[in-house]
Order: sequence, then structure tokens, then C-alpha cells
Amino acid sequence: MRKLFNIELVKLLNHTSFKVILGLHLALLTLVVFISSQINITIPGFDTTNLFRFPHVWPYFAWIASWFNLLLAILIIMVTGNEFSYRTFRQHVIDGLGKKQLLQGKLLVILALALYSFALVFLSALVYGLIYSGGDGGGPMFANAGILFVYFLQTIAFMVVGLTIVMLVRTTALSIILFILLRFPLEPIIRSFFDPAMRPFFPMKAVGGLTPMPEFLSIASENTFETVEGGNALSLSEMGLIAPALPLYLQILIVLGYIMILLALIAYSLVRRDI
Amino acid sequence: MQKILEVNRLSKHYGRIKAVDNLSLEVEKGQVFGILGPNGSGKTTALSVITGVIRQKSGTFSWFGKSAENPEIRKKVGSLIEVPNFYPYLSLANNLKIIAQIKEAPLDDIDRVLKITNLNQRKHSPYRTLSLGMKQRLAVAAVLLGDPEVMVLDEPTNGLDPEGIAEVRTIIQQEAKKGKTVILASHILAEVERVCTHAAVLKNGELLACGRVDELLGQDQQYIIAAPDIGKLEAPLTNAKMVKSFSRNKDELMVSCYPSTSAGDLNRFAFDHGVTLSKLVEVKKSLESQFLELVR
Repeated sequence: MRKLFNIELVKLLNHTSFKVILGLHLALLTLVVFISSQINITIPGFDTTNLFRFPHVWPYFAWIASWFNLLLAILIIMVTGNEFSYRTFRQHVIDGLGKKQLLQGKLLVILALALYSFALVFLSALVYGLIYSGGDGGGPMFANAGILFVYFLQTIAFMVVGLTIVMLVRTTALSIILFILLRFPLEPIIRSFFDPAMRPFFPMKAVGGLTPMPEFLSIASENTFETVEGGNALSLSEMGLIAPALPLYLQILIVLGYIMILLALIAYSLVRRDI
Repeated sequence: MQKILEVNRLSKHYGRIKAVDNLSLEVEKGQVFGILGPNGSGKTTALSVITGVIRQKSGTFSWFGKSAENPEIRKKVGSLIEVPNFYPYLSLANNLKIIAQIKEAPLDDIDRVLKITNLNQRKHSPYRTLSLGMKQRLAVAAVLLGDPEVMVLDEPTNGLDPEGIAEVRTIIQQEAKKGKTVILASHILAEVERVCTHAAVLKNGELLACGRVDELLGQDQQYIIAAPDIGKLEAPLTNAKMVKSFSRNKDELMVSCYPSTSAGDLNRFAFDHGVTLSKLVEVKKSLESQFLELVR
């Protein structure tokens, strides 16, 4: 594993496009978080800075970061597509690397990128949380922080979908187009033909649903409107503005299932097809 | 002698096209084994199968008597198949570093192989800046990394200038002298004749001939004979057991004899039939003429 990781490091650390896209991911995520922190709507009983306080900051940042998973998926498509266009996968096999090791190498890159993204979201949420919570009005600091592990899984899942497409198609540009088509128009159109109860089981929907949009109204109006049970009356899902989601554990299981199926498909394709 | 490579009834088809058909051959330790054939004869396909990049339709092959599925076995084999495949944005050193890590070769071996291939001056240049010949030399350097027991070279002199061709030939000869086994596919027959101890000839994926190069060359003995009354010999030659065929060109006959027929035998035969030869010349066949005879 260490050998495979070292090999991938030599390729990536000297790859200009890789560094540019990764830098873009870092810059965009930081910028969007910063800009959203500057938009404060504070009226009596309603305060959007609640989103930056513990524990709401964790799901909020995970949700924002999930927008940029597209860039990470494009990154993995690009670095894998290069292996086919330079015919270096073929050369690696000639030099003595097993076909499954080719896949393991790319999974290590996915893991490294997911860890980087996890660390970035964790650190920025921690910093903003500490600044905005400031000792008053903040809930338990790490109460919702578990969502970052779900975000970690989501990042991996998006990249595995990208990896599957490029491993089957073997060209970078076509794979990126297919990934974007699948993410935006294609799967939503196909989903619309199915019963609403079935829709959360579609791959992109399941993966995207791991980090749902936070209940802005509910969080911003916290401590203002409360039901007799103590819950907040301004829940978007309760008002019917967003569709109710499957339980989180079920969503995680569905996504884990998809990851396993896709990895098995890649491994099968690598072994069966000429490289 | 240790068997390095054993190929048994190997076939690879692309649709209806038989790229390799029922190929069987053996390569033993220390041999410099040439694979000859016209374009499209299946040389590269055969080498791609035995280096694990494409799957055969049927048949088996083994390296060192073990299953070729084992990537550890392939680390003992340095291979250059078709064209050099490197990362264009990486330097020569970094490209070789990746290969050294795959082969688990020491990193200081990079300098050794760059020196052998005269590329040490360009160690830190990106691969994309190299000339075609330099790229080919880098591919040879990659093959040499980790001091493999076997070298598989598919058209290693492609794109090289005469000096580069001579350099690669010297490298092959030096490695062969060290006892390494070399499998060399080429259509430059003079190169194969100079370097190889053994050769196989392929056409349309089929094996036409295989054996020692000197045996392939020496299967027939050819002589040019002349005499004022040469016509008297034509009838006896037709029935002579030692003669395979002959053709007449004015006062000369080109006689193709079975192996082990000497010039003396032919001279005696002519004398016994009342002809005194004024000319008797042994024609040394080149691999090229033998190859062309085989593939036509």
C-alpha cells in the first residue's frame, strides 16, 4: 500500500492541473464560506449567524462543502483518464503491477482527497464555530460533528462514481461529461418517472442526500418559536418545503452498497478487459 | 538448460482476425531470441500477451516455470512493448522512479541506467521535451532498471539514428554476455542476424519456423556452378538426392542442396557426370533471404 501511495504521490505532486484544481477547490470552498458568513440577517427572533455557531456549523459546512465534491470527482477522473491516454496503466502492468493494484492506487488517491477535504471542512467549521459561538448562545461543541464522517463517505462515494465512469469509458473528457450529465439532468429525469418512495434509492440522490440542506429557518429562529413538545415550528420539511429523507443509517447503508458494487464492477472490468 | 518462457498453443483473435494462432515456443536461459515477421504478423500481440497486458483467447504460457499471473514474476522481466509509455509532464528521473518503485529496484539504479543509455544529462528534463530517439533510449533504460533476468524488446531501435541503433545493439549484446535472456521482436533482419542466437518467424499469427539462427540460415546449401557444357548436368541434377532444386541462368546453375551437402560433393557429382566445373561458389544465405522465402 505504501509503495502504491508513493507512486501516486510522484505522479500527483508534479501534475500542474491536479494542483490547480485542488487549489481551486480550496479557494472556492473558503471563499463561499467566508461570503456566506458576511451575509447576516439579524432581526429580533431571527439570526442567520446561528448557522455558524456550534453545533449547527458542522452540518452547514458539510452541506456547503458537498457542492464542491464535483471538483474532486473531476480531479479523480482527470488523473485516471491520464493513465489511459498516456498508456501508463498498461506500462505499470508490463513492469509488474497487478491490475487490482492499479485500482488500489486510485482508491488511495480517493482516500487522500477525502481526508484532505474532511480536514479542510473540520478546521474551517471549528474556526468559524469558535469565532461565532464565543461562549454564549452556542450548543454543545461537537454535538453534530458526526455529520463530517458522513460527508467523508459522501466525498468518497462521488469520487468512486467518477472513477467507475472513467475506468469504463477510458477517456477524460467523455467521462467528465457523462459524470456531469448523470449528476444533473440524467438521473433526476430518470428519477422523476419513479414513485417518490423509490427516488432516494437512486445512486446520485442517495449520495447527495447524505448531507442535506440545513433547516435554515429553524436554526435562524432558534429559541424564538417552539411547539409544545419543545421542537421548532419553522422546520422546512414539516412545512413540506423539502422532501422528507430516509433515516441516515439507511442512507449510509445504501451508499456503502453502491460503493461496493461500483468497486466490484471496476475490478471485474480491469481483469476482463485488455489494458 | 532452464526454461525461461514456455508458450503453449497460444491464440489471440480480434473478431475474425487471428492475431496469434496456436503459437508454441520455448525460450531458454541465456538465449537471445528473435521474433521476426512482417507487419501484422502477431509479434507485438504475442509479446503483449506474455507480458500480461492483453488476455489470450486460448493456450497457456509460463515464465520461469510459474504462472504468469504472478506480478512478482514479471518484475524479473524488463519489457518494452510497442512504444515508450511515460508521463509527459514528469522528468526522466521521476518517470524512472515510478518504475523503480513498481519493480522494487533501488533508486540509485536510475543513475546507472541513465548512464548506460547516455541520458544522464537530461535526467531532470520533462519527458515531453525529448526527441523520438531519446524517448526510445529512455524506454530501454526503463527495461534495464532493477537488472532484470529477462529483457523483452519490441522494435527497440524504432526511431533511433544509426548511432542510437548501434548503442542499443551494444547494450543487448552486453546484457546477453552477462547471461541474460533477451527476447527481441524486430523487422530489421540484419539486426536480428547480428544479435540473436535463436529466432522464430511469424506470419499471420502462425509460427513458420523456429530454431537456432545458424540452423535457420543453414537449412539449405546454395551454390552457383558454371561450365562450358553445363547443360549436360541438368538431367542428372533433377534426380540427384542431394539436390533440392536448381535454376539456370545462361551458363550458370543456381543449385539448392539439402543441408550437409558440401562444395566437394557437388564438384564430385559434376565430375562423375563428365562435367568439369569452371566455377563453384557457395552462396551464403542471409536471414533476410531466408525470411522472405519463408513468408512468401
